[in-house]
Amino acid sequence: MLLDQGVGKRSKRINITPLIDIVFILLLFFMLSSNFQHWRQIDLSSAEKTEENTEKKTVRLLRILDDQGVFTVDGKSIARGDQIAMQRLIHEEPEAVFAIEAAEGVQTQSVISLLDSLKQQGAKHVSLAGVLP
Amino acid sequence: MNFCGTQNSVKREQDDGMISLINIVFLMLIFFMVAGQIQRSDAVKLDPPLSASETAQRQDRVTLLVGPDRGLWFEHKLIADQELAAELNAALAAAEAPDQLSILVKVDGALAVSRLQEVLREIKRAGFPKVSLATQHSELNS
Repeated sequence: MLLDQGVGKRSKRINITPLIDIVFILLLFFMLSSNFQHWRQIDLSSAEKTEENTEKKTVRLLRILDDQGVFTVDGKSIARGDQIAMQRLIHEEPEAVFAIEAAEGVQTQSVISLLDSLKQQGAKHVSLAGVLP
Repeated sequence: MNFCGTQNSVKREQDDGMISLINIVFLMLIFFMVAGQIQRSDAVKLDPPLSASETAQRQDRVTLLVGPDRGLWFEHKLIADQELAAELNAALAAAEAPDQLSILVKVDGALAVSRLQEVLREIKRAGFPKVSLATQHSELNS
């Protein structure tokens, strides 16, 4: 009649239930607080750029008209997606500063997309008109 | 006549099912600990502009957030438009190396450019040497 044997064996094992509780709580904490957004940044100006000789460069003023990505330069209107026209514009004067100004109500996303497109097509100096050098 | 023994084995069988669950929980825990980044969340939910820029964010900087409702948050503190100049000057004055201090502007992608330009003009007037705009990485949106 060894009725207590089982109980005695059981009490010797380490109880892992509180460990699992803690692990669950940690899991919840990390799931709720961790962030998977990959932030990047675009440098709008830096000290090195302002020290450069800017007076020699010509400034081409690009005006964004709407959120569809159409902009005008010297009276001509060009779509952002039109790669050939974009390349021609940049190859005319690769060293020029391409200053972007926006019509009323244009979203920031449109300006950033145009900045990206200009850089991808080979423009070396891109800026926001009237705000930063 | 080993009543406790049979009860024990039933309990142990139930526990065996739990072990795989615990394994999964451990794996998830390790995944979230390693892959996720813990950082202070923004004061308002922002949908940052998408860009092909690959530049990683610098850590030594002050942050200015412009919400979709045009509100301003400087270093997680809500401020009025008139207070911006004073806050910027104070941040420059408090910096160890004012000529190295960079400011990160976080805006919503749908924000009007005119508002962004207002804020940038104010920053330029205060004399920040480095200004950058927070974006989210995406392949080029043509």
